[in-house]
Amino acid sequence: MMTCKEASEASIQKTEGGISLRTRWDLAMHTFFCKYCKLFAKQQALLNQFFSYESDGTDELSPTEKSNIKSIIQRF
Amino acid sequence: MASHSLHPETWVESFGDLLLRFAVKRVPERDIARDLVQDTFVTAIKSKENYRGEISEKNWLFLILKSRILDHYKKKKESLASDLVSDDDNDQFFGPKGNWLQDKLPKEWTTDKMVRNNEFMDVLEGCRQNLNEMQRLVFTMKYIDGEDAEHICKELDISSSNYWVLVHRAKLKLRRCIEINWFER
Repeated sequence: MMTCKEASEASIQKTEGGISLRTRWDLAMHTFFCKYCKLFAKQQALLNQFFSYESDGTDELSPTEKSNIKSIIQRF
Repeated sequence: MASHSLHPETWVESFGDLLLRFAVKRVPERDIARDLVQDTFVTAIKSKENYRGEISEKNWLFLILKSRILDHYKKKKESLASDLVSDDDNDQFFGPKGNWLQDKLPKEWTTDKMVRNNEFMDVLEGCRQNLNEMQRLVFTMKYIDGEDAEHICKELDISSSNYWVLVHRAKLKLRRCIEINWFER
């Protein structure tokens, strides 16, 4: 039987289709009996979903930084 | 067929902020991110003869910036390599027999107040920034940029097994960080 550590690794790899049929079966058996690894697998799916919503933030170049960059570009 | 042209005189105003936001997400030190943006414009000016107009100038500048960011990390390769071997994060989560430690057991997440919630997204971003540099880089390339594992391993010159170790550790730390800073607070 897989350990929880092995199941958590397999659970992450499964999302990329990167596990063998044998490992997939072992993972299914493990998560059938282990509610915590089942929760972990659900959390992985949610994490992937959350990060797909992330935006690039609101940082801006200051007027001085823009001016400096423009003057550097003009040298070329 | 070339359908786009370059307008370097408008680059800083049109794309400077967008490029900076992209860079800061991947290189958290703002000054370095800004320098990478500046370097992107300089590289673009120097290689404008190579621009064939097949993609928009915005996409072309982003491609150059991505390449600059990877170069930045390649220069730090030695210090990043230590992230691979020195991190014993797994021991924080599992006991000697490989089972979850009692205080690290995964909990049920209720999602109704999480998605599209700005406060939650701030927690999420804070947790991502708390990963070590190599974990953050691999995680960002995979889950934000959508690169495949093979490409990431090639670009960062890491083995497939190192890649999976990094992703595993990153996800263990992220879920724990979210539980502490969102569900248990």
